[in-house]
Amino acid sequence: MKKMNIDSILAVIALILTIFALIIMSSLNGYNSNLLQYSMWIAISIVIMIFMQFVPVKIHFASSYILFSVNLIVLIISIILRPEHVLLHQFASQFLKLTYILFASRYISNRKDNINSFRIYTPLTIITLIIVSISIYLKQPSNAFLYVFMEIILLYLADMKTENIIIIISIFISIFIFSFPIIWIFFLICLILILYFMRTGIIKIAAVLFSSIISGIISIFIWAWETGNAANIIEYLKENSVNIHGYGWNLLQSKIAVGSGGLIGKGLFMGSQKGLEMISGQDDMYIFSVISEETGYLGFVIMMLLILIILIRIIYIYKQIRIIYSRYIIIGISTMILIHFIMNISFAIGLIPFWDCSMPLFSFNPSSIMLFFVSIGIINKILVDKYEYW
Amino acid sequence: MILFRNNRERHILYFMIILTVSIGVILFVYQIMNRARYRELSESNRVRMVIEPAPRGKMFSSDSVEIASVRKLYSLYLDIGIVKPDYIVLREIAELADMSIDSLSMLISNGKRYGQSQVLLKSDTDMRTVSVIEENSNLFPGILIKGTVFRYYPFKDLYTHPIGYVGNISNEEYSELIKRGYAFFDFTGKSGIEAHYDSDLRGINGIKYYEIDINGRIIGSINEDNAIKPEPGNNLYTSLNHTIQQYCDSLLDEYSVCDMIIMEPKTGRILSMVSKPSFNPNIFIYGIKRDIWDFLQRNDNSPFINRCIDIQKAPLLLFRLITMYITMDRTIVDSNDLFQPCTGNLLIGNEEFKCWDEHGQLNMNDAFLENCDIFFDQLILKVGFSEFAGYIKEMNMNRKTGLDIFNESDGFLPDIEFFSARYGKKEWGNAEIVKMMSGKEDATMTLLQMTVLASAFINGGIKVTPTLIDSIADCKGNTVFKNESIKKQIMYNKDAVNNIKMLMYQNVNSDKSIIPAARIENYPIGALYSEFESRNISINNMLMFYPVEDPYIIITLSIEGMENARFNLPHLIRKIMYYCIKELYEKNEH
Repeated sequence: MKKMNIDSILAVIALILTIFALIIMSSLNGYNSNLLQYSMWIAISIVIMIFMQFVPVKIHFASSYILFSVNLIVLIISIILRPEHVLLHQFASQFLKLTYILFASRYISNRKDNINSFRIYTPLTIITLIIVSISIYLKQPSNAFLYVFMEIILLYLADMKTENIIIIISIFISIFIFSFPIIWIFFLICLILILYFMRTGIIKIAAVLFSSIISGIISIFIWAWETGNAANIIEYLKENSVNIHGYGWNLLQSKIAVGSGGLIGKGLFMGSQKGLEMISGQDDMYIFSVISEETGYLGFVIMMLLILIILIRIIYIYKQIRIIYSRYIIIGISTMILIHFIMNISFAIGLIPFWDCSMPLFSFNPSSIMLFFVSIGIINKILVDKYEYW
Repeated sequence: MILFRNNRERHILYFMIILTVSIGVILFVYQIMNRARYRELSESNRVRMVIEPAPRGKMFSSDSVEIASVRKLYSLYLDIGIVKPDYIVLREIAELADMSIDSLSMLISNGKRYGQSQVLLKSDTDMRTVSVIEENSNLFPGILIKGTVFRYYPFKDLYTHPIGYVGNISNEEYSELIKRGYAFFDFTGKSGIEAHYDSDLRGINGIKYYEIDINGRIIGSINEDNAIKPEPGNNLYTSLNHTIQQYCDSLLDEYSVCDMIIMEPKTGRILSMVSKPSFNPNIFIYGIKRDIWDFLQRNDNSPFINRCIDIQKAPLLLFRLITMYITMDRTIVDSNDLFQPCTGNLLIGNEEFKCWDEHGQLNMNDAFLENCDIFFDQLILKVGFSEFAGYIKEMNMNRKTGLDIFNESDGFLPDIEFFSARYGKKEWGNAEIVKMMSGKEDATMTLLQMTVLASAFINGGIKVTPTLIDSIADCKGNTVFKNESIKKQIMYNKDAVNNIKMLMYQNVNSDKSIIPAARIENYPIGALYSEFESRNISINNMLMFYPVEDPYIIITLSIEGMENARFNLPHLIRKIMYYCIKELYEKNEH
């Protein structure tokens, strides 16, 4: 059997983060938040992470399309079966982000030379559009945003022209702003002007307009929640963020928890907002309020530095990795983890209303824990095999 | 310097760093610059928001008796923010609440999951326990006693099926109901009127703010200006008549499986609805014992089913009435036309059909009065399936009646696809058609559908939509909704309808009548009686209306396993009819 190699910096950071997460979670240990269960899921995830070190990157490469398709089918089945299979649904929707990165990395790395061709980027954009639509339909706007972000990041890495990137972004923006007609029309006019000054052909501009309208029409169906279209949802969230009887209560309490943490926090296990259970969901979506209240600004800085160090290390050895597919994967995965953290923190202090983005590792949700360790496992495998070529 | 090289991967790194730094700056403003303000807010954060449940609306019978009420009870709550997960503490609380430690833990974890600060431990606490806890509050940290208003059904199982019952919201329901403003401890209608009019009955929960001490213990209410008072639900005035319901229920008490509807055929108002077996709906509010729950679950004739609207029955004589109506409407045969004489049996296809007697040569009216199956089997063949199905669909009799109640079932009328699937393509013939159209096989209707169809026959062909609610009024007594009867003409041949009504009158009063026991002297009534056997249990159905000229009351009754039913059932329904006439109409006239 091949010897298992470990990237020391990555391992140390993952270890520190895990210990930090265990300490924070033990502070939340109670009836619903079971530390034993949490530790068990961490142990299972670590075993899977170690197992992944024996899976060569070329196996991911060969199976990436199949993995993505299977994951998508499982997600659709779990939507039909819900709410009986909550765990299956959680895992399928969390891991779709990872398998999407595998899928998109392979697709783009295979076609890197022709990436600016309309025929190459359109199928990828359509597939992304489908999973973005599913995510919005499932009331997971943060996942939808992540898919768009990952596609753009990967295409940008593959040296796609700025003009084409603007075109792709515009299609997704239409999904989010179609229900504000004036803003949408203003956006389309700006888009046409930008493309015109970038000397884009008339046919291409017409195609962009057409696809923006199509994605706008799609948005009518996928935003069809109880509260109505995207405009109504934003209106609802706006009203609620100031309504202290509803969502606003949690937001207010979360802000108080974060703000009262100060530089070094109130001390571990000492959070009064947490102790008095002022916030519902503090063991999941509002976990940052607990971290911040107990460890303060320092806790945030250390946590984000650790994640940034992973990203910086990856960028530094990026050129040494010989397989383009692997390069895309590690950048994709590490930015995904960072964006997850940033979105969760932004939610806790009321910057964004994306309520579905749990923090990787710092959550009692098993799929979040496993996604983190599997991601670290893949990054490690690529880093230690950076000179390998096939 | 390496960071300034123009590589796209570095752009991504810069972007991420900028994003992180921006969040860092915002957090810096929150945590470092505004620290003092938030620290002060956090230290003075002694306010806990508690939802105050709204009292549920009451229900009244048409004779002004409160049939679904509310009652103030002392309930035991547990403040899950205070209680620590210690085994000894949990055991003490579980003992106090009369539950197992496992169910207590489950209750607490569910409450936490849905962001509730308090969970209900026991809704009906005796005064002794209340005073013990009040006097020794230090020994029971986190236990609160609240006087809460709960739904109460004073007549126990008397109205279980028409008005239904309320119960706790299940975990599956809660994810849906939370969007409609329900709280985790709210009760919601599970069946009957309670479920159908839940949004009217439930009222609007209030919000109260309490000051808490450093341990999270409630000191007292504050912030009165911001508090929202609970708004009681609307009161429902039903069409049910308490005196009649009680009388019928006591008469039907000796039958284990039966169902009965009393309705006004002109308006569709249901005066009484009885379905047996039944159960006491209070058990879902004040706690149900394991053995009772097991018994209810295991019972073959489930008490949870409202048999009047949910049990499919063979329509029998009602289909015969439709066949007769089609015959008269389309003048397929003259009422004096004669068919092959009844010799007690008849061969259709490969099957032998039997009659209960040898009737000989009969015309349609006589055949109806003498209940001759052989005559009607021949008539059915003459009318044909497609004509029959067309009429049924036009009358919309195989669909729900539209009663304002939860869980009403459709009837079932087979079509050609059903026959092909059941017997094989082209494998079915006249025998199957005759069995279906005589209402013995395949086709089914609920008792309520039968009542509505029979009402149309005695009401000049007008079908009414049945209803249980007369009006809805808010807590101040202002009427917010008044029910108007919905009518629809489904049979246009008035002569034919009248003829059939008169036949039903003769069915009781002629010399040839097989149900003379149903007669009420000086009161012109019409009736139909049918019996049927399924899985070795005899099912006896009967309907009766009064007065024949312009009926204002119809009773349908179905009893399983009644002995000597041909005498006992008419006798029973006659008693009910007589009581109704005396109670409802003659009393008022005087």
